[in-house]
Amino acid sequence: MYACLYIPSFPAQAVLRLQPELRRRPVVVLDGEAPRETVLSTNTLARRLGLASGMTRLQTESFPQVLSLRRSQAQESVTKAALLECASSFSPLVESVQTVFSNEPGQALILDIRGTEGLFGSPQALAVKLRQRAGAYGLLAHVATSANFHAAACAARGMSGVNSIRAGNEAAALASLPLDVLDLSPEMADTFRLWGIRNCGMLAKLPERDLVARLGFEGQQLRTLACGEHPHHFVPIEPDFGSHLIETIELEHPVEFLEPLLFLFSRLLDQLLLRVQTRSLAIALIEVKLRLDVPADDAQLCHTRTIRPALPSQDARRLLKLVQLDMEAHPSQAAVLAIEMRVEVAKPHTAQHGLFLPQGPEPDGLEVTLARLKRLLGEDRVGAAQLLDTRRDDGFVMRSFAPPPQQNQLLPEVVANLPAAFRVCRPPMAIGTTLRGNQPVAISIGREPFTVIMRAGPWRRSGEWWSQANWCREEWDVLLSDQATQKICRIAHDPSSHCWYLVGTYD
Amino acid sequence: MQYVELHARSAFSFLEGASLPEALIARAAELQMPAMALLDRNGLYGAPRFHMTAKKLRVRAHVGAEIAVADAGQRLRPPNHLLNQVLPEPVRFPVLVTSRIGYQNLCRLITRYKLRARTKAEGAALFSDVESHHEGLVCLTGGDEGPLAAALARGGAEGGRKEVERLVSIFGPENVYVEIQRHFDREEEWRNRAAIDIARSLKLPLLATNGVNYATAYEREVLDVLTAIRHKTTLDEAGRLLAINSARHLRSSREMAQLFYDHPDAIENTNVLSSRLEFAMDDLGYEFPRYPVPDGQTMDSFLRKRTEEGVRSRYLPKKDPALFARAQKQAGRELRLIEQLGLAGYFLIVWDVVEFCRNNGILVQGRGSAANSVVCYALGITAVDPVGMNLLFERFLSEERGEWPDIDLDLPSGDKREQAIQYVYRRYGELGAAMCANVITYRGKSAARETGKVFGLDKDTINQIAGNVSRFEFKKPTDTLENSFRAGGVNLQHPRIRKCLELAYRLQDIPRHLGQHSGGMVICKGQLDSVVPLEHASMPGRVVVQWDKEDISDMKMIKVDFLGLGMMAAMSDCLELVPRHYGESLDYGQLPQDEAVYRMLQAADTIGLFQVESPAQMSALVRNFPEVFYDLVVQVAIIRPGPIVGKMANPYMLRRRGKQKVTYPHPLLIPVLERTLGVPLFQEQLIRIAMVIADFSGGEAEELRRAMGMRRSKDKMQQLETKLTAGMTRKGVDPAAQKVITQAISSFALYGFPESHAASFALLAYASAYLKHRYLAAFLCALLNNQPMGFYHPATLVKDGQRHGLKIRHIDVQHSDWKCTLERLPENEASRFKDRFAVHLGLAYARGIRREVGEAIARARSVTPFTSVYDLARRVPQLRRQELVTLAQIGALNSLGEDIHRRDALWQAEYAGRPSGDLFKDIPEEQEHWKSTPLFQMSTEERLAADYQGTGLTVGPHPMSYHRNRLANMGAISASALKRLPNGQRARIAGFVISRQMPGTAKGFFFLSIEDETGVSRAIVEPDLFDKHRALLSHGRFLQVEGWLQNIDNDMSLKAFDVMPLAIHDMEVRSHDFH
Repeated sequence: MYACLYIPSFPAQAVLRLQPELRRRPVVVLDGEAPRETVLSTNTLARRLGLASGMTRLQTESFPQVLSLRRSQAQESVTKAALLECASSFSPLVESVQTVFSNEPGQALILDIRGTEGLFGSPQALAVKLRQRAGAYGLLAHVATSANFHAAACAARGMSGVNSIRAGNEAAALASLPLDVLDLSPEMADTFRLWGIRNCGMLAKLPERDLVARLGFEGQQLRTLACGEHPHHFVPIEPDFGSHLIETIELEHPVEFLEPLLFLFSRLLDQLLLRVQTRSLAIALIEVKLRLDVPADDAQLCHTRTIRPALPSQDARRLLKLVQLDMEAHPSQAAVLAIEMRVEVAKPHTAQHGLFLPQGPEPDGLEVTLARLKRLLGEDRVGAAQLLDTRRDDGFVMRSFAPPPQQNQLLPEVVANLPAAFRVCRPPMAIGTTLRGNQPVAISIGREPFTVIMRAGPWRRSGEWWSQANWCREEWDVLLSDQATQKICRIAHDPSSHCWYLVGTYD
Repeated sequence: MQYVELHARSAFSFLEGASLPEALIARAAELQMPAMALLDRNGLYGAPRFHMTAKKLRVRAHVGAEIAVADAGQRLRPPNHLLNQVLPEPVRFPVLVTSRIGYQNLCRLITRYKLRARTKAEGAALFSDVESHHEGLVCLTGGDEGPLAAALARGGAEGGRKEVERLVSIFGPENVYVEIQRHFDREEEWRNRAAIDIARSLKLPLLATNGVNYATAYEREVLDVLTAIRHKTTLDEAGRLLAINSARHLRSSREMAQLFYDHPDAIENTNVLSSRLEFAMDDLGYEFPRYPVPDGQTMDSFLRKRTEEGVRSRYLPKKDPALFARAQKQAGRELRLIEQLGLAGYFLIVWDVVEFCRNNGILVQGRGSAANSVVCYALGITAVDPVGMNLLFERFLSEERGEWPDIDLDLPSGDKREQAIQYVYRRYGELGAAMCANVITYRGKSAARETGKVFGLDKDTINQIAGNVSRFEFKKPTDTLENSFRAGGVNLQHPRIRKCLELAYRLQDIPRHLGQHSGGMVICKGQLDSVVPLEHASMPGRVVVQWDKEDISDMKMIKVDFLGLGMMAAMSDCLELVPRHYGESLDYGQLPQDEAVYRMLQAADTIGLFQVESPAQMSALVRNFPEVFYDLVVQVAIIRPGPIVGKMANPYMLRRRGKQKVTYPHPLLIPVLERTLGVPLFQEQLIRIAMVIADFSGGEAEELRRAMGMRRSKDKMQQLETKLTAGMTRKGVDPAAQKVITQAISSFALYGFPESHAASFALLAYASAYLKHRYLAAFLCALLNNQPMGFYHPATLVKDGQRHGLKIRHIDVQHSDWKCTLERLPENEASRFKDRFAVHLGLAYARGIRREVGEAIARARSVTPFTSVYDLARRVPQLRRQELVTLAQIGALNSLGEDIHRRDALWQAEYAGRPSGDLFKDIPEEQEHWKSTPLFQMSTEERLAADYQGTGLTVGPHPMSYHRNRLANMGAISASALKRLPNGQRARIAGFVISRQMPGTAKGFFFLSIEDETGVSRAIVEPDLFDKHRALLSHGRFLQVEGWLQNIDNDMSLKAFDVMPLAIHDMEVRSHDFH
C-alpha cells in the first residue's frame, strides 16, 4: 500500500510557507533573468484571476493586486528537507518524485505504508494525519493512497484533498483525471490532443494492441498508468552518505602551534578514511575548519582551508602531508579551540602504466613537491606560464602544469622573425629620463646615469578602449652607455601617468 | 612637399575599413591633399562614391584595389602559439590604375577570379591572371597584407628581394613601387629596413603610404568592433587580432614628412606617382549595346519605322483622327529627341525584351515615367495612352537633363520574370549583362545586435535589445537605440554599456555585405566586365555588378528594372484559367469599362485587388467614389506620402464630394490643375506649373523637381527656386500664391507619383477588379497560387471569396493538386453560388507537406484513386508519418473511405505512417481491414483549430460565427451591422486582427483591421492608447475594440478608446503587420 504526499505549486508554497500573512493575497513566483522573467508558480488566488505559469512579468504587471516574488532555491531545498522529515515520521520507506503538473513544478513523496495500520490506522486515516502534519509544516498537500504506486501519485496530482483508492478500483478512480497527471512527453501530448483523448479513462479504453502498434511501448506504458496497473520498483531515499562525512573535535584548551594540531588532524583523517574505505571510495576534498579563540563578534571566527588533491586518494600519509603544507602556508591567526574536518569522496584513481611509456613522476609525489614549492613561493608563482593573447606586456598567467596542447598541423607556421632574447624587468623599474624634442637623450636607472647613444622608436601601443582597463604606451629601444659599459634596453613612457620605466634589457 | 595618400581602404573592404569613401575623401580635402587613392579589398565597391564626392570637393580620386593572389603565398598570420588564429588568406597586391586600359584590366581581372570562385565574396587571382592584365596598372609592395611582408617573413631579406623581382617581371620596373608604412610598430620598421635595402639594390622608387583604414584616429574603435565581428569573437577575447594602435588614419603632408624625415624621396614619389595616375572615373567607356538592324537601316530609322507601325496599330482602332494626328506629331517630336540623344538602341533593346515576353506568353508592362512616352506606348512597352491622357513627356526625357531615361518593366513574379532575365543574359552574354547590387548596411537592429555580441552581452539581452528596436515604419522620438538598450535591461550608467551604445550608433550605415537588387539590370555593349567588376550573387546563376543602383546612375550607366509583381503573376494565371474553364477569351489590352466594376470599387469591396486594397485605400475609395478610369488613376496616387504630407489628399476628396470650392492658386494654372480639381497630385503637374507660371523649359522644370526632391545640392536648389520666384513675380503671381506653389512643389517632388506611373498601376488595379467581378473563382485561385503577395493573408482572401458567394473546397488527397485548382460545380450546387466554379485548395496549403510529396500524390492519384490511408502510404512512399498525420488532421484523408472522419484518418495514419520494413511493405496487414476506430469525431471547435493549425485558414464557417451569441451579449456588433449605425455612436467590435499598420506619415496613429464572419471593420488607435496597450495591439490575435463610430462620407471606422483581448480558443490565425 502506498500513500502519496503531493505539494502542488511547490515553488510558491515554499516561498509562502514561513509568511502566512501573504497567503491571503494573489501571489506569483517568477523565475529567469531580469527583465525576462516568467511566472513559474502561482497560488490559488492568483490562478483565479487568470494568471498562469509561463506568463511574462509584463503580463503579471497588468494585475495591480498581484504580488510578484522571486523563486528561492534555498527555501525550496529547506522545504523539501522538512517535507521529507514529515513523511519519514510516517514510514521509513519514502521515495521522492519530481513532477510537473499543469505546467507548474510540484513535489511528491511516496510512502510505502504497508504494516503501519497498527500505528496510524487505515490508509484513509493515515492520509488524513499526513495531510494535517504537512499543514502544520505550512504546506497545503494533496494525499492519495492506493495499492499501486503510480495510481497513488496520479491521484494525488489530479485530485485535491485526501483520497483513498480501493485495491482493484484504480482504473475507475483515475478515469476522470486529465492526461497531464501521466507526465506526458510533448509529442505524446500532441498526439493524444489530436486524437481527442482528454482523460485517463479515454486512454484506458483504447485497445492495447492497436495502441502499441501506433505508439510503441511508450503508449502501452501510458495506458497501464492510466489503468492504475503500471508496476513500480520502489527505491527508497537513502540517508545521504556524502553529506555526513564530518568529524569534529573540541580541544580542552586553545592550541597555537601546528605540530600538536597535526596529531589531531591525523586522528580525524584516519577515522574519515576508514569510513570512506569501507565503501571503496577515496578522498577527493578535505575541508578543515578551525574555530579560533577570538572574541565572538570578530569576523574571523573560523579559519577554513580547502585542500583538493590532484587525484582522489586513500593514502593517509600523503593527505596529511598536503594538509600540513597547506596549513604551513596559511597559518591561522589565533589559537584553535575546535577542529572540524569534512571530506568529499570520489572513486579511487586507477591508472594502467604503459610498458613502453617513459616513466613520469609519481602523481602523489609530484603533488607534494608542488605543494612545497607553493608554500615557498606563493600560490600564483608555481605552474606553467601561459601567454595571454594581448598586446599588454604583463599579459600572462600561471596555469597548473598540464601536458602541452597538440600542435595544429593544418596551419603551417609562418615565422615573422626571430626576436632577440630579452630580459623583462618584473615589475618595470621607474627611471628618470631627459628628453630633447620628445626623444630621450639620457636616463638614470637607480642612481646610475646613462647616456642614450642610439634610439629607435617611439613604438606605440594601446588597447582595451572599451573598458576601464584602457591603456596606452610609447616605447623606445635605446643603446645606453656609462663610462664602463654599454647595453641595449627597452624603455617605456605611460602618457596617462607621465612616468618612464625600464621594461627590460636585450641580451 | 605635398603628400598624396595612395593606399587607403574604406568600409567597402567589408569589415576591414571603418570609414565610408565619402568620409575619407572629405578628410583628405580637409587636409588639403590634392589627390587620394582608394584601394578596397578585391573590388571597386566604393569607387563611384569616392569619385563623385572627390569631384565635388575638387580632389583627384585615383582608382585601385587590393587584389588577392592565391599563388603568392599566405599573408602574415598571428604566431601559432597565440589563442586567436585566423584562416589562411592569400596576400593582396595593391594596384593603382594609370589609364583607361589599366581600369579595364583591373575590372576584368577582378571579374575573372570572382566569377571563378564557387561562392559569393570569395576568390583570388593567379599569377597568370595578373600577368595577362597588368597593363596600365602600378603595383605597390603593400603593408602587412602585401606580398613583401609575407615574403620577408617566409624567406627573410632574400625571399623579399625575390618577391619584388617577381613583381618587377610582371609589371615592369617603372610600375613597381616599394611601399613603406610607419605605424609606430617595431616589426613593421624591421620590414621597412628590408624594403629600403631591396629598393636600393633593385633601383626601385620608395613610396610612403599610411595603409589607411579610417579617416580619423577616433574611428579605430569602429575598426576594432568590425574586426571582432569578422573573426566572430568578442573585444575581450580578440587579443592581437585588434589594431595595435590608432595610427592608420589619414595624415597631413606635414605629419607624413616628419614621419619619413629620413626618406623625403618616399613622400616626393607620392606626388610623382599621383601625376602618373591619369585615369579618372568620368568616362568609363560605357556604351549601351547596339541593336542589330537589317542592312540599309540605322537604329534611328528602324525605331522610327517600328514606332510608326505602333502608332498606327494603337491609335487607328480608336477611330479618332484628331487623336491620331496628335499622336503622330508627339511621336515625331519624341523620335527627334531620341535621335539627338542617341538613345534609339536603348528603346529597341527594351522593345526586344518586351517582344520576347510577348512571344513567350509573359505579361509585361512598363511602369514609371516611361508611360509618358508615346514611343514606348507605340512599341508596346507601356499600356497607357500618353496622348489620350495628355501626359507630359518631359517627365520621362529631356534634352537638358543629361541623364539616361529609366524604363522599368513589371513582370509576373517567379519563374516568368526569371525567364526574361535569363533571356537578357543569353542575349548579351554572361559578361555583357548583370544585376545591380544592393549594399546592405548596418541598421539599428543589426548594429545593436552585432555590437552587443562583440561587447560580450549575453544572448538573451541582445535579443531583448534588438527586439525592442521599433519594427514599425513610424519612428517616434522615443524609438532610439538608447531606449532599446534600456528596455533590454542593461545599465546605461555603466561606462562599458555606454560605449557599446555609442559604437552601435557609429556602426550604422557601415556596409556589411553586398546583396542583389530586386530587379535592376545593367547591359553593356561589348564587355560589361571592362566597365565594372562583376561577381556572383548568392542566388545560383546570378551575376551582379559591384555597384548599387545609385552608383550606377551616378556613373551614367543605363539600367532596366525587371520588377516582379505578384498581381501580374496572378493575372497571367487568369489568362490561362479563364479561357480553359469559362470558355471566354481574356485580353487585358481590351478590357471593357464596366459600371459594375466601378460600383464594386465605390463600395471599397477591394480585398485582393492591386494597390487599392489597403484600409487607407478603402477609406479613400468610398470618399472618392471612382466613376471613370481617370478617377482610379487619382485613387492610386492619392494614398502616397506626397499628397498626404503635402496635405492635398483631403482637399481633393472634399472637392470631389462638393464640400469644398474648387479654386486655383492662379488662373494660369487652371488648365494644369483642372483634372484634379485645383489640387496638385502628380509630379507632371508640378513640372507643368513651373513651365506655365515661371516659364521654365520642360527639362528645367524636371530638374527643379529632382533638385527639390533629392535635396542633393543646396546651391542648385536655391538657384532654381530663385528663378521660380522671379518667373512667378514676372507673371504677376501674388506672394501668398507663390508660397503655396513652392510648398506644393517641394512636398511632392520626392514622394508624389508620376501621373504616368499611376496610370500604369491603375490599369492593373482595374484589371484585377474586373477579374474579381467577372471571374471570381479564377481570380481567387490565381491569387492563392501566387502567395505571398498583396496586403492580406490567404485566410482573409478565402473568407472574402466566400462572402462573395464562392464555393471553396477543402484540401482532399483524392482531388487536390499541389496548387489550387478550379472545379465545375454540379448543377444542383451551382444555383446556390455566385460563380459556377469552385476553388479547390491545393496541397501546397497543407503546412509541412513538401512539394515533391504533393506532386507525387497528384501523380499517383492520376493512375487510380487511393482506396485507403494505407494505400496512399504505400503508393506515395515519400510521405512521412508527420505529413500523413497533418493531412488526416486537416480532413484531407476523409474521402479515403466511407464515413471516415478526421479522427478515423488520424488513427489509421498513425499506423500507416510507421515504417513496416522492406519485407512487409507491400503486404496488407490485418489492421487495414479493420474499419472501426476507438476515437471520437472532432468537435466543431477542434476542427476549426485543426484547420488553422494545419493550413492557416478554414473553408468552413468563420470562427467568429460560433461566438456570435456570446459576442452579442457582450454588446459587440458585427462588421455588417456597423455600417447601419450613425456617425458618433458608441460601438464595440470584436474579431480577429487581419492587418496592423503604423504608417510613417500617420504621426503615431495605429490602424487595425478586424474581421468577423460578416466582413471587415477598421479601428483607429491614438498614440496614447497604443502606448498603453502596446503589447496587446502589436501581438493580440483576437481583440475587442470599443470606440466612437466615425462615418464620414460612408467611410466607416471606429475611433478607439478601449482595447481588450477576446477570449477565444487559441487558433493560429495570422495578421499581416506592416512595419
